Amino acid sequence: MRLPLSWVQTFLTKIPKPELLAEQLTIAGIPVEHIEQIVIPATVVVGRVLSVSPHPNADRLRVAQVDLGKGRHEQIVCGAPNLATGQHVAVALPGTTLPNGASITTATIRGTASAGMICAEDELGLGNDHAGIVVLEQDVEVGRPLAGVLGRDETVLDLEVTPNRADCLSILGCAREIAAITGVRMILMKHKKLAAGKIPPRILSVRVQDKRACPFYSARVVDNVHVAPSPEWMQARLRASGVRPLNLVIDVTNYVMLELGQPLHAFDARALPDRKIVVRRAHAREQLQALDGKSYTLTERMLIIASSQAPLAIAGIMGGEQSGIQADTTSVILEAAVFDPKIIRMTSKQLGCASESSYRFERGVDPQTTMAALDRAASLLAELGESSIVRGSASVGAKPKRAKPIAVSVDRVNAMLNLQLIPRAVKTLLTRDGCAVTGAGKRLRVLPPSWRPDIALEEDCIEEVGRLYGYPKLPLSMPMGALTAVDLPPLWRLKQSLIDALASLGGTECIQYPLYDEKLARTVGLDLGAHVRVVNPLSREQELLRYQLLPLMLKKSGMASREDSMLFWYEIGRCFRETGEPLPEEQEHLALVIVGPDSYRVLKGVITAALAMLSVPKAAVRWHASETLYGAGQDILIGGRPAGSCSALSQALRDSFKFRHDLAVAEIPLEPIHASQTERRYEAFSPFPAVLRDIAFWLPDEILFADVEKALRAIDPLLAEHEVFDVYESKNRRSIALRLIFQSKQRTLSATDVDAVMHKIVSVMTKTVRAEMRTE
Amino acid sequence: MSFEEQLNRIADEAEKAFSSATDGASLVNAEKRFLGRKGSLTVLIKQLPGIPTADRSRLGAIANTKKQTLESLARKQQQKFASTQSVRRFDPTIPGKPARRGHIHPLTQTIRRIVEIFRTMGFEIVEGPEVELEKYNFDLLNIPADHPARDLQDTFYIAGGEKRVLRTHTSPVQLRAMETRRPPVRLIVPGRVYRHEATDASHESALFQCEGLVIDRGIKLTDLFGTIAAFLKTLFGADVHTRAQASYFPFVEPGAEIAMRCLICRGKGCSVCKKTGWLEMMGCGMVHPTVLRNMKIDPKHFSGFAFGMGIDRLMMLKYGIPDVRLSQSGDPRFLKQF
Repeated sequence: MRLPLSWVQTFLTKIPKPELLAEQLTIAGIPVEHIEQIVIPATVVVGRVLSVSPHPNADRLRVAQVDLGKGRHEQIVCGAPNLATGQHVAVALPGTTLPNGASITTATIRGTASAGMICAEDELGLGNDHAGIVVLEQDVEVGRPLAGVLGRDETVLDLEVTPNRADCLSILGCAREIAAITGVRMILMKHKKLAAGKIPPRILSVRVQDKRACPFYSARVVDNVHVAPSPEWMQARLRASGVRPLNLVIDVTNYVMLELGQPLHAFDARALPDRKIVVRRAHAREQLQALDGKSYTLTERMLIIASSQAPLAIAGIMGGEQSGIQADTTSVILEAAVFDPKIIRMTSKQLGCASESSYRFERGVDPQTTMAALDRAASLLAELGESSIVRGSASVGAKPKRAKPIAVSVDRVNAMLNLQLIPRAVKTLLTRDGCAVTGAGKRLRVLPPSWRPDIALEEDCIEEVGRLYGYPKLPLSMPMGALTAVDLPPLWRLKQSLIDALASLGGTECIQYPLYDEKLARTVGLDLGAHVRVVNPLSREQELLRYQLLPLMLKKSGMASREDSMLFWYEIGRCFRETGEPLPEEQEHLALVIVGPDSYRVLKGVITAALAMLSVPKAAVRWHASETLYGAGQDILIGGRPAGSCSALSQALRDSFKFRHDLAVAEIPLEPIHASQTERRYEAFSPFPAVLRDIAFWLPDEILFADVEKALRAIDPLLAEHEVFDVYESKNRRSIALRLIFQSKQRTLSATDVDAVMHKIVSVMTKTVRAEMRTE
Repeated sequence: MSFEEQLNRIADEAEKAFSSATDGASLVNAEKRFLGRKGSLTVLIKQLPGIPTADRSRLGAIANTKKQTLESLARKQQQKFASTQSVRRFDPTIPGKPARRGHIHPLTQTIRRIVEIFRTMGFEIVEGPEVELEKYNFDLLNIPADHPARDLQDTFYIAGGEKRVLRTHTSPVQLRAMETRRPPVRLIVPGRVYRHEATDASHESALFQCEGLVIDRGIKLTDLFGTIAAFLKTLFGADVHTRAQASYFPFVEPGAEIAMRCLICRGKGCSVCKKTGWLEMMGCGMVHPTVLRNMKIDPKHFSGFAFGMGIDRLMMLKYGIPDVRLSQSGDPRFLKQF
């Protein structure tokens, strides 16, 4: 909502400085987005277009000869489509710096000299319109500075009005709010009241078919209308409010809507030959060509204003082109109504058609203002257009019901706001809001004004008291209550420990968008059917919720590994899977990507170390060789439960993601890890020294290391541990170097003890896994 | 020759020999000759017990001093040879070997700080689903369908029969948490939320939020303001100023917004605070009586407050990150700074 301060000021005895007012409004719950100063430079003057001719070298440009008064004539090149001979226009003379920062100089445009610029609204900072140049009234004096014509400079506050405060979508409403917040007094406008009687049905009759959709409808007829531009003061206020001036009739309806918050509509009476207005639901597939130039296909749930023959307007949203005001319109039917906000909202959403009017109806209008707004518009039209109002109105609908009074306890107000207000103080604050407050002692009865339907509960009244007292002035406090020990949720703790473990192992944590596209899922070979799908993604790239973390990480690893040839990064995040239940399954996963030499072994080492740091017993983790989605690798079982896999990325995927380096990946759900976490227990270690021996052997390619391990396990309990310290691959065999660790819990081992076991090892390995000992 | 004369002579000779030693080997020889197990000074000192008692302690002291002086001279010489002998000088200015270090994402670090601070105030951590039923995300939170309040949060919808959305805020977890809890309750809900809006430097469509909920007897609006002020002061420093402003969210009444004096310009007005001097930090308010009833809590006996803050925003302020999109870019040049 754009609030021109000069306009709202007419309703108030005084007004704070813009910056202070903006702060007060913001604190009171009407945030001011920004303060806009409209200052028209002194070198923008009124000019008269003497002639318009085509530009010799440009199709879209034209050359205007402009009279600038005091005998000065200039040639100006202009691109506006609405430029015409005889117009009074705003000309920025060379040397002007416009509010948008543009500097105007004498220039040659496509070979034609141009001394100045004929300005559009936005260029002057008057509004947002750039559709054409500003056309002034014919009677403004040529050569006068525009600032003098349009009145003094304007300051506009851009308000962010929350949906509950529809009352602040009008100048009057904002004035009330400013009065309530600041305590400034309001100046009540006295408008001429028009005769309330009924208009003869042959001039106008109204029938409302659906009274719930349209609780109140009223119309008046204004005759002898001359469609001309509205006065400059009205145009200026409209422009400052962000509404484009069109002609007197339209401008008056917009002006009154902005002023009082009640949307109005004007029909050309010729569209209603039998003068019968019907408010009804649309027929299925009924068509309406609206004022925005688009054609809308209506449904049976939508509400329209119709003549006995055809639809005239989409109720509360937009008028039809057929019934719109034309240059030769002479008789106007003005409409003011109250519509069901839900129907307006639904229709506007479904048609994709919104307007200043629908915006206000959706949020609710003050039914007490409807008739006053109609009268105000008719009077303005009559006064400014020298037209005549036909006596009486055609109105349908009951007087709106008054709100119910709300019981408010002063004690509760004080308890909630941490204050000690006396009942009278509470009463005063609520009265400033327009509430009628009665009641004795600490029990008040509060009757909110018709424009504040958002005040309906005691809590609403408490907010009003707090707001008007000033939130920043309330004394701060802390919640009282007994505290007890609360532990972190187990999975949360696991996640944090895992992050610490991986960071200590050198990993870089990343967090990525949880959405990807079908193509990515397909590249990896994930089950598309189990993916959770977004109906309205921001782009095709974000149509699926991630099923696994790895696909997106692989996509990013391509970029990242070009930055950094040795990369170890991981993500812990949620993955989603449709299971047929109302809500999809959401599981926390860990994904790891390691790029660089020997990446698969590095990755397994990281996983093993991290699981150990998380107190998952070594014995609980099992690895099984497998062909995973990502390449040859191993499935992981933790505590007997499937816990993802670990793979060397296949050549096919390396090609699709364009990796040059060796790359290994793993994805592990956190739940099985959590289920296998055990409290760490101290284990007595052997007091006797360990003996180390290294052996190296050649292994045929078809033998897996798992086979070697299996053979080693059975040999002798004195062989406590083994570690691979070197792997060397030649053509069709591998050399593996092992460090063997011998230790007894009972005694110090002698060389003879160890030699005996070594002998057994060599013989078993040669036999069972066809190992060929290396002696060199 | 008296004992004392002998002592002086040996000491003089030894000093000469030590000083004139030209390398490590000659020094070791000299040491052996005078101070070794059979060295002349050692042998002489061994004669001390035979000296008459009257002189013994005086002479003993002198002998000891001479011995110590010689030993320290020998050490000094040794060091001299050691440093001239080694081929290269030790360079203590050489940089350390890069230790392999990890990096924890700034969002994670921010979440950890938030959790840490609220835990000191007795809050528990609760999590909830990111794909949520409309009922929880909107209806039970007093945001009816066909109400403009739904426009406050642009929504992603999920395909399938059920009315499902990507949660637009962490608030539905309030209701889920209260299905298994009774007051007194103090909890926070950190997690991901989704907004159907174009991303730019300050808007993210998949962002992180932290919800807070306190329900007990006699909870006041000012308890909310006090709690948030305490939180922000702990996170950003004691000189932080906060201000409560009225606001509207359908699930709270009274509703509020907490603003913090801009950390960048200290309230003077800059581009970060859009020249207002204040940063909007979070929406909050007293839990709406309708929402309390939806939690099966009697608003006559209990009251509560709730708040919801953007974690990405806190992260940006905490680390001076100018563009929210960096956070989920996966760019190592970003990640490796934390």
